[in-house]
Amino acid sequence: MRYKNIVLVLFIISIITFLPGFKPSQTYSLVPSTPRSIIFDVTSPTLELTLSQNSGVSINLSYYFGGNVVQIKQNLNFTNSLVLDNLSPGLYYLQILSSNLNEITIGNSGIYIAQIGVFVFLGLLNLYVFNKELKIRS
Amino acid sequence: MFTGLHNYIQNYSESDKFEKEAVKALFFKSYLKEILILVPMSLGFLFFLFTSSDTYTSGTSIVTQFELMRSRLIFSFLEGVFVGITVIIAMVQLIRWISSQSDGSFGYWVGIGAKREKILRHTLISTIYFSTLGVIIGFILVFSIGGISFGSIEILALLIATVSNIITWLLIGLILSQFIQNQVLTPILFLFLAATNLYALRPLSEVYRYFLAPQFNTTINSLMVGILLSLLLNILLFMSTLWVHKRSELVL
Repeated sequence: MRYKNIVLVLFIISIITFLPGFKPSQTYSLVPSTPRSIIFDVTSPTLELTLSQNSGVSINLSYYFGGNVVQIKQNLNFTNSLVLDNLSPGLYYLQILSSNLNEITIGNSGIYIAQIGVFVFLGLLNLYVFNKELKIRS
Repeated sequence: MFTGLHNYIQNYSESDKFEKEAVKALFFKSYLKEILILVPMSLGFLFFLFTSSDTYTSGTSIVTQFELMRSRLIFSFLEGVFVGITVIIAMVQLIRWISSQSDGSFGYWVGIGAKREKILRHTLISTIYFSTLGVIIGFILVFSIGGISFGSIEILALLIATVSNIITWLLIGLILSQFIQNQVLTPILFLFLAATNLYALRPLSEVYRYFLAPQFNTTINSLMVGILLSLLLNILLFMSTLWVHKRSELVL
């Protein structure tokens, strides 16, 4: 492959890394006095938990890292919605205990700063390489 | 010592000159390299992102559940890679292989002095090289942005098993295209075989999975067995492809 094409392929890969921002949110139903456990994969920094009905639930949130389970939040109560910021990517375990019939929506959105940095750097490199190619031709 | 190494590299790059040119002219024209790197990787990443979460009520321990979810995520990534690779092999490489044999461009290179066996070998080597690059980049994406973690030996075994599976399916396609030389029927038949392998036959039996889908194993021992058996199958398939290919007629 030529140098120009390698840079272009890397730039396309950096665009592909923005795909997790378009991940669809998932909805689960909750039944009173039965704990519900969900394991999901976080690929974006912001996690948004939204309840369909305005009643309180209590959650435990854990993170799986290198064969160990690390607890982040314990017995956290919220009523309408909860937003957690700056989460590192990985597998998370959510345990929910609800007192009423309810539905919870788990949405994962946002972009890491490193991704934007890589995108801008490769874009500038691409512009530079293509500009050079044009100058050689003309 | 360094001059010896330098001479060796120079000799290697100058040997098989005709065959390398032939492979470049017959197969790796019009962005096949870039497609081989980008398409399986991005399809695998899409499959990875759209895997549904795991829910359960009670019973199994959390660590076991985490490990099950992790293996399900990596399997969906590998499924995407498999789908992308088989579609590229069917839609690009098999059609080019069949058309180059029927329109005389393969015969032209053989007439100049290129050897058939070496053309086949260099086709395999180039395909392995670029698809391995794509799979490695895909693994980097899945392990960094996807956030799942494996041991380094497991990652290496998964990579070798994936690449060995890619060789197997390329060779199956080539051997199929020697028997049925039709630019429409052969890709469809090949895709049908690959789809039945992925969705119907793979979950059925373990022995079958060792040979034709070695990367879909969870434990390190079964991965090793899968790698060994699929490499054995690859050698057999390569021999038989050569045997069949040398006996087929060429349009010169």
